Amino acid sequence: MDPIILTVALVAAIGLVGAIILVVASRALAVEVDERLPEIVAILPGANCGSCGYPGCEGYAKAMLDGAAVNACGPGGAEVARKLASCLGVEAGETVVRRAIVACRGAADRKLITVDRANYEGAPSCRVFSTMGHISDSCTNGCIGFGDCVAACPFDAIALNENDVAVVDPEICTGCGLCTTICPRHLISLQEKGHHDRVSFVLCHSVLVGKKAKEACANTCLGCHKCEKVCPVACITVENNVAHIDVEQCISCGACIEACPAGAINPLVWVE
Amino acid sequence: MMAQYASILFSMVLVNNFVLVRFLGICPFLGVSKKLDSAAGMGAAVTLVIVLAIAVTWPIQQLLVAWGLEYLQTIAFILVIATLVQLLEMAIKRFIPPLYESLGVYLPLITTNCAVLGAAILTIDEGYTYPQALVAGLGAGLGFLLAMVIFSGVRKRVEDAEPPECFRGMPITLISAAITAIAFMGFSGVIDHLFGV
Repeated sequence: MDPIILTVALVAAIGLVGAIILVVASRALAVEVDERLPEIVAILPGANCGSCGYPGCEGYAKAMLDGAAVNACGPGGAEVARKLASCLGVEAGETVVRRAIVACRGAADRKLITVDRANYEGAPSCRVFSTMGHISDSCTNGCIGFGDCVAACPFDAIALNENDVAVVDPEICTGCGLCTTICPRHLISLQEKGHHDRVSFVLCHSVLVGKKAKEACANTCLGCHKCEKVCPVACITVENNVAHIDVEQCISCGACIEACPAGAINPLVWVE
Repeated sequence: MMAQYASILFSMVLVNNFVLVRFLGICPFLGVSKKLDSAAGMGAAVTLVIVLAIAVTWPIQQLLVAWGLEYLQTIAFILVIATLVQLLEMAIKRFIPPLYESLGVYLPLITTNCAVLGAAILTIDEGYTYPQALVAGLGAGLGFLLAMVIFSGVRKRVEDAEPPECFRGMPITLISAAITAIAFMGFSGVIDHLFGV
């Protein structure tokens, strides 16, 4: 036989047998994928932040196909919830607007020192600084200012201000909550938008009291109870020398902001 | 008889280790060795593919020789291996989805993995009989698995040791691969003396 025909026939035969086996196998081993899955993944922001409580956007998409609520995506907000609802044919439900807030305005003069009181020259990371037992002179509860949260934010919503204190840009923040677990001093918390567009918020975690607190930082909560007394709905309590405001009850009258001698209470304004 | 098979198996695993001595199949060796789970999964997948590939390519080679078409060896083998990998991919996707996701692009890359084609061609060049070729293929696959598992451990230790920044990532990985390979060079000659073949 002509070697060319033999060659072509042999390779074609191997290919054909392989193809038949693969066709049979693909039928037998087919994995059912809901065709809405890629559509849903495309609607989600793709930040894989985990604020919905599922591992990544694809994990949440799969969970929604199994009947999970469509309004859990923090970064997406109401817009994404509406799109998901129309895609899956379910009710969108109420979306909670969240954003992260750094509860510190920072002592401008704070110095980062090592345990033996020399200048800190270690790795520029808040977590390293904190884990190694180093302290910041002046306030020991405030923002360390190396910007671990800045690096952790997938949306570039956090920046360090002129005092080297992390500040969240409310217009960019999506409330995914990734930064809240990063801060070694637990200064960043997620706040939910309640009934008011504006509530009072204590931007301090310092447990120092009175004169010591004043020396440490100009913006510190002194634990003076003044805000507690002026609040008309009694939603402020002072605990461990720090005021706490129950944002659920706050009527945003602003009395505590005026009463605070140190400027530790600030309005938390919600933007759309 | 048994000694001969054992000699082939162990020399393939240790003395002629495909990854660390012959430097075949380096791409998944560097790519999937970050985690022990996926490294072991990849090693098992490659072992399976090599044995299956040899089981099919050895008879095909006899056919090629009989018809005087030895020059078709490469293309015919690649065709067979590609089919087998495709089949394996479907099976893994169906039965072990987490492994499928952790292997990622490296799974279809077994198709062009030179360890697989290398095992198929080298066993024929050595003139092995069919059972010998299968044992050699098993040895080659197990050697690959061994290298993957050992190296994933090495990489974990290296990462924990926090190497200097300029070495972090691929540079230190390649250096540790070289040192692991040096360790395997020490096996040369051991098997011949052990089994007296």
